[in-house]
Amino acid sequence: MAKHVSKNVFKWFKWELIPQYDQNFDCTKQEKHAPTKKQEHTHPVDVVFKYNDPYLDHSVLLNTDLKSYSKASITSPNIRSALKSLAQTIDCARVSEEWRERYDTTGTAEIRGLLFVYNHDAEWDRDFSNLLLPIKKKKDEEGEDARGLTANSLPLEAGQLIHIVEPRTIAYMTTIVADAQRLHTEGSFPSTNYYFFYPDLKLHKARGDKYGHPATIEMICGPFLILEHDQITKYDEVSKEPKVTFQAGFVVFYNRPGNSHLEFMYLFDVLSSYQILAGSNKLRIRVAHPSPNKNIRNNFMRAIDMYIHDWGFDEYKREYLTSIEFEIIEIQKSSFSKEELGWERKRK
Amino acid sequence: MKVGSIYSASDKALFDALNQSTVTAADVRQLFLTHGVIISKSTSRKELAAHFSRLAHDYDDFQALAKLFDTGHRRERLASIRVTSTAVMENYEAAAHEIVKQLTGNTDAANVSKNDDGSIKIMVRYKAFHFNKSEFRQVETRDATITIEQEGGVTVIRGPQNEKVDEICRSILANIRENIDDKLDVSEINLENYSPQQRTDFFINLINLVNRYKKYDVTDVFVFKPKAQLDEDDSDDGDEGDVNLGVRITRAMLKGEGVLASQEMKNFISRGFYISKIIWQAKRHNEFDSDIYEFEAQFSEPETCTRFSYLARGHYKYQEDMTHSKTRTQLTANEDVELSKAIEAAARASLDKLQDNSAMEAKNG
Repeated sequence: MAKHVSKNVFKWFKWELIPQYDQNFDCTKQEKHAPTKKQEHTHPVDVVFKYNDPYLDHSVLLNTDLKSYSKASITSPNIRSALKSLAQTIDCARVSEEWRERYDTTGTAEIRGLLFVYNHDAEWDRDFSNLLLPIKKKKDEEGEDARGLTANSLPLEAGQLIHIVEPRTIAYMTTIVADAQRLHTEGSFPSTNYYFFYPDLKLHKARGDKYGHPATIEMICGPFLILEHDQITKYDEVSKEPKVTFQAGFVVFYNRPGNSHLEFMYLFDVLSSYQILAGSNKLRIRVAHPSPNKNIRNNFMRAIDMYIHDWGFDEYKREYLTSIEFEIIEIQKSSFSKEELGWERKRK
Repeated sequence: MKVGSIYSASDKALFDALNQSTVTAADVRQLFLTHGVIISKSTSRKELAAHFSRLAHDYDDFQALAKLFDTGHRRERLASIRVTSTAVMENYEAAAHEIVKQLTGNTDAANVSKNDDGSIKIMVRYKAFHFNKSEFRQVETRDATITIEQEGGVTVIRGPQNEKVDEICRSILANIRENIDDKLDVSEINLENYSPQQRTDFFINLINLVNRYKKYDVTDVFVFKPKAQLDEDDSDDGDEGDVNLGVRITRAMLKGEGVLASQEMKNFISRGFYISKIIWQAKRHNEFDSDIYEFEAQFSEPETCTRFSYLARGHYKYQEDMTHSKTRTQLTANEDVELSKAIEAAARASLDKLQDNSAMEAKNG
């Protein structure tokens, strides 16, 4: 199930799936990873995703552990043990020829871990980060790392990373995909010709063809993600001609509750520094958060007023800011119903 | 550039901030975790800073970082002025609204409210700028509350002592002067025309005049002797030869226990120094298990003994083993108001006493 979800969803974010499922590879560091084990130790690989990070200009390979849990199984010990195993797996993967041959023939990619936690009963509604909160330690254990599971008990080597895609992130992603498809039907979003926006920063410049830019895992897990699209042209069945249905622009999917106008003022300033808060581009902000603030729209309007006021903007700028389309979209708890789950099982 | 708005931090600013030692490894780990990333404790800080700086970040991230750099701004000392005029509270309220309109017309947030007891409260949120500091420390948001109330026929305006509040007070008074009463009289506590001994007496009396609080100890005393006066004294005495030696002390701070009774203190006073700032502790009258309260009073312009200000610094809690906590706790908002007023009243009483004594001397003399 998690496989099904991840495969369908990540494709939309322009990730590549390396078609080698569920292959174990031999541990190259058995003394370190399984010192007590008699037989040969192996590491599991559910699936490996690949994309090119526009800022890093190299491939990122995500050695992924797909978990499909019921609400009751999403527990601290389960998550922690999955993280530990994943940490060891990626430690081995970067020196394992077996792994490289299968997933990274160029040998230049960066290997990271990805823990994908799908909640198949869609009932999990708690804060995932609480699972990773430090377990209280006894007094005699000291050092600041004793406070956190994360770096302390995880055997993560220097420079290595594990990303977490939790149920909420999955819901965010499936919501975005469904919303984009809806917009496409409506004629205001392309079906494939969209691309993720990476501004040139001071220390980091985006490389490669912008039309090929994927969403990085950090972008997906970040506070917002920005998509850019050209003019939308659709085939008009009546006139039998292509017809322009929407102007070029940006869509910001926003994953924050909108608790205050300051939140949006900050967003405006970020967008302004990206040079996308002006011009002829249409800007749409689509809030995709599980529990948006009930005053979110007021906060947004207030932010526009305050932002204009603070910068002493003229009518032209006001017109642009008020032309931003602001919509709150409902989060889809799970895009796959239980019937579908059954269907999936039958097919196996 | 427009002063007073929110600026988003650039990737460079994020990078620099994360490389500061103020940010701990645990802080960095937490920042990454909120973006769904678990980092290795062995990864270099520089690498992590570079990574985080290329991520899209939001207001919460910014706030989390700014908080780390916020040294926790000290509570400001309070000051007050007393106005005698024909203006009534409605006039002050109108003036307050006028000021708030001006303030919000700039970049500050401000509002006026009226309390049940009829006093008027102006709340201002403004930005203090420190351009010599990095992005995350540059803008400091400050709040100030100015209260206007009637006390025995005069209007008292109270607020933290700083330039912003001074400016607001000046505007209020200008407004009243222009519209209502051009002969209004403003009185502030100042000892400009008093002798060094009288200035010292003012503080010594003050600490004993705080209603319902009994002096427990004096821990810090700042003494001052203006330069001009130094020269005068030296030429008068002529025998100490300070000038020839190039020795010239204008201010000193004595810290410890029982400072006021110390020999060092006596020496300074006998040489023409006077107290310009004092920090003392007090207990509640007749309460054997009272917490120890700490107060502070000073003239912000020690040379002229003007710009009087004061602060209830906090309290050391009484503990079951008959000792007091070693760390100072902040007062609740109510206690703060109550104690600040008590210090202010003590200062007034002390000044009255000086005036009475002067009058008496003049009469006798």
